[in-house]
Amino acid sequence: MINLREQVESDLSITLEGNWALPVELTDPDGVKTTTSVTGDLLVGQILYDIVKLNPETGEEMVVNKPVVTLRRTSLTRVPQSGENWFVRIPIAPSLTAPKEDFVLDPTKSTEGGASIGFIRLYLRRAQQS
Amino acid sequence: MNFRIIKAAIVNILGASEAGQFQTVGFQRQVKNAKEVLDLQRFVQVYYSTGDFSKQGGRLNGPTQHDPTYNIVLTCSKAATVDVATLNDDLATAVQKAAALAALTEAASLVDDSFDELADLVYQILMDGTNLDLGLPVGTVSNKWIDSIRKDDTTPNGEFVVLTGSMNLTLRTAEQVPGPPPLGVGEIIDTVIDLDGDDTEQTGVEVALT
Repeated sequence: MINLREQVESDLSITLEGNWALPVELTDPDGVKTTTSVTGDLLVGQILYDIVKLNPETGEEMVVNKPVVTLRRTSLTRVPQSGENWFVRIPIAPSLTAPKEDFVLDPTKSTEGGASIGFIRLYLRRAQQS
Repeated sequence: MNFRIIKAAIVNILGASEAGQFQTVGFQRQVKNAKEVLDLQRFVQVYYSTGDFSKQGGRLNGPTQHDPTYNIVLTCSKAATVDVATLNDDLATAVQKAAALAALTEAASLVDDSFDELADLVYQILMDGTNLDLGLPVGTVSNKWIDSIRKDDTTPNGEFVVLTGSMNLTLRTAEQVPGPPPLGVGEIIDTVIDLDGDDTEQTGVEVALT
């Protein structure tokens, strides 16, 4: 009988990398750019663009985009760790052909585990040319 | 009342001094977009906050001493900066890209500097000697003073970091009490009063009913 955790991890190929997936480009702190998974397929993941509406200091509403990328760990040659500087390019609209824009990992948020299930969630910060 | 004229004068002075460094808003914006206040599009919101009327500083029918306080809210947002050109250059080596990533500047650091710069700018504009009377007739304003600057904590709002804060500008003015403005003129009764001995019959009265 298959271990359920292995089954859930296997299902990530559908939930994160199936028809809902969008392409992701990663550049690790060593400058190595990755656009494919360990299997050689296009590196894809789940990308969400949430809108946050709260400024806790003033109580004012702030309208922002909050891009979050969720990837399958076993698809990555190197898994981002909290505190590392990674460069991430994702499409700005939910379309495979949408132009990609530039982000870095949000240093104020640790990458979320899911180590027990097999995914990693990356919170992004918009990057501009220095 | 003068406090309204003074508020308009503050907004005008700040508006005329923007020089592409910020945007002046003369009211409380309830909802802002972090992208809307990005970089030099920083917001400076001005609004009348409170007013103190000292009983010892005036007469019942005016002039009355009024110490208005204006809240000047500063809002900035920033993205992180990194050498995007090198990172997106397929011809760049891994070493070059690694160096670019290592030189990344966090948005929280940039927005902190941006807020300090904006507070400095606004303070200099409002307290400058050329703006002593805020462009109003001499004597309208006295004791102009920014008595505090407050900086809030940075708010990591998704792709940008937002930083807000405020300054309190207080001053003193004398408010006249001319009474409420007329609501409008209704029926006018124009009549002549027939007085004994008034041969010219030019004594009259005009009454406007409101």
